[in-house]
Amino acid sequence: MSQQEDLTRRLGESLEEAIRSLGQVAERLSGVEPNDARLEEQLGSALDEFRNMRAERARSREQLARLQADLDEVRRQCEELAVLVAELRKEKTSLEWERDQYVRSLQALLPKPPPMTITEEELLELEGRGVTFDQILKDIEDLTKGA
Amino acid sequence: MAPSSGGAYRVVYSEAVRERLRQLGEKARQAGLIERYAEALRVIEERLANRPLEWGDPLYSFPQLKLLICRGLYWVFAVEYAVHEGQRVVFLREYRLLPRNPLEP
Repeated sequence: MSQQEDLTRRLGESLEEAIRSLGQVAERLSGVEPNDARLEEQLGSALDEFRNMRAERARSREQLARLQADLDEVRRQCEELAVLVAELRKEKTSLEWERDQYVRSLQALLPKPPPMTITEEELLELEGRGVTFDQILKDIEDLTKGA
Repeated sequence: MAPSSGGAYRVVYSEAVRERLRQLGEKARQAGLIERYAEALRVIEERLANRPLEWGDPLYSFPQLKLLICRGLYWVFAVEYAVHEGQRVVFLREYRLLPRNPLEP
């Protein structure tokens, strides 16, 4: 549950609590005579409860306002980041194009290798006794260990 | 023999290429680039094993041998290789270094 949902729930709960307290006060006062000393005591206690609840509600509202402000700020940042992502995507596309151009230029500039002088039999033999990439990697690992 | 890296093509290195890669690896180690070097070899192997015809530029073909000679560029390497489309085999021919590379400063 998010902090904001939690606060909203707590505000709702404090309202329910206030209604419950009012019900309890009304119940307590139902058998009390108007001049009874307990009346003032009961009313004072109910007033304190309501003051506490009001203070709690004010704190919750402040917290809610702060969270709302945080949320707005995060949303603003998200929008800025989305713009940045779009710009970076464009830049990436442009860089990829530039890279491909460089590769093409390099390909054009490099001299062509001399033709192969190999027979099909030699190729088939090489296929049979060729070195695998795992062996190449093993050589590199040995070099790394020796580093 | 099955493809060494599980790709569509089997990549075959000769002992000469292996020795060349050892020498280049030694240079990479001395330059403090051995990890980058190993990573480059892995990327090249993956491309050769899966899409050798798309990666490299075709240079010329040997119809009798059913071979297409290609050259692909990656990092400091110009990799020359032959593709036997029928057998789905790639023969590594040469690993050349591009000019002005960090392995041969």
